[in-house]
Amino acid sequence: MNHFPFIFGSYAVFAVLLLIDALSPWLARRTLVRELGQRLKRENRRATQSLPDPEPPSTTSS
Amino acid sequence: MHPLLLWFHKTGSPPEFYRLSGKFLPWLIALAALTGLPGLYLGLFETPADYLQRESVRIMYIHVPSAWMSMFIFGFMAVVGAMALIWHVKIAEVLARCAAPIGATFTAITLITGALWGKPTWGTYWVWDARLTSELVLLFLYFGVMALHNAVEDPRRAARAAAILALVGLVNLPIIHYSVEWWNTLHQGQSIRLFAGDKSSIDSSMLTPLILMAFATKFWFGASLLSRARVQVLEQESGKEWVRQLVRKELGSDEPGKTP
Repeated sequence: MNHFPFIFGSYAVFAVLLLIDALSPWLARRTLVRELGQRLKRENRRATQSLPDPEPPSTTSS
Repeated sequence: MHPLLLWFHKTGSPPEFYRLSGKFLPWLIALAALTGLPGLYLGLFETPADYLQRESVRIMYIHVPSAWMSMFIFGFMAVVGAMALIWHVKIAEVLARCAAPIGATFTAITLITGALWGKPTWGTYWVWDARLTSELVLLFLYFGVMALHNAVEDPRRAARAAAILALVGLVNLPIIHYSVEWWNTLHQGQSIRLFAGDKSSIDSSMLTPLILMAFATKFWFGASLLSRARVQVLEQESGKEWVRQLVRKELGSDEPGKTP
């Protein structure tokens, strides 16, 4: 029996599963940091909008 | 408070853990590469074929260290789970949660590579042998712990439930280890005895890559655990100022009135 396909298959499974194990926290961190960044931006925008205008525009025409 | 517990609480505080783990992570990755690459090279190209298993013995260099890791990680998960249960250490909950998928990965590798080794050696991919079945039960226990963490909304309650399951599941570890002695199994007995070197039946040329791979998988586990725990800590502490500062710094956005 040719043993090569079984050896190759085993090492391929080992490499693929460890690659997934390595990539998943990296991807999760990237997504989380992006989400947190968007949340910060939204909060900043909300804070800026709720601030009173420094000089309200004049409504008198005459 | 006991000094050791005090130290654990201090280093286990989320910002301190995040800082320390960031320092350890590159070293663990480097050590995993430094031990794993020579281990793989020796195992694949330098060691001789076995007189009985022939070339398929090369599968052993990944199968056996993965099997050791599958049990080691479960033990680790139970220990940190117990610490979380007894002393309510938050970071222990995080570590227990993050260890489960890594343990499941190593258990899956053990089962798949074992099946691929079994076909040319035993003539079958699978038998309901005590060793194989107990290892499959270990995989289901890992799935159970992961499911509990995801099913319960409150992370602290989820951690407690998962820790109890991990502690109960500990009973499976001696069953896996001694299954080849307690029952008449198709799986071979132990070839390596760490504490009785003269009783080991493995040749030293095969032992070197095996030991290297055993260290590599340990370092891999350390690196994977820390990188997962760092993400978990960021997620749990997302409302805290230190996380907001870190995100601002990473994304390069500046907010007036805040200092890094």
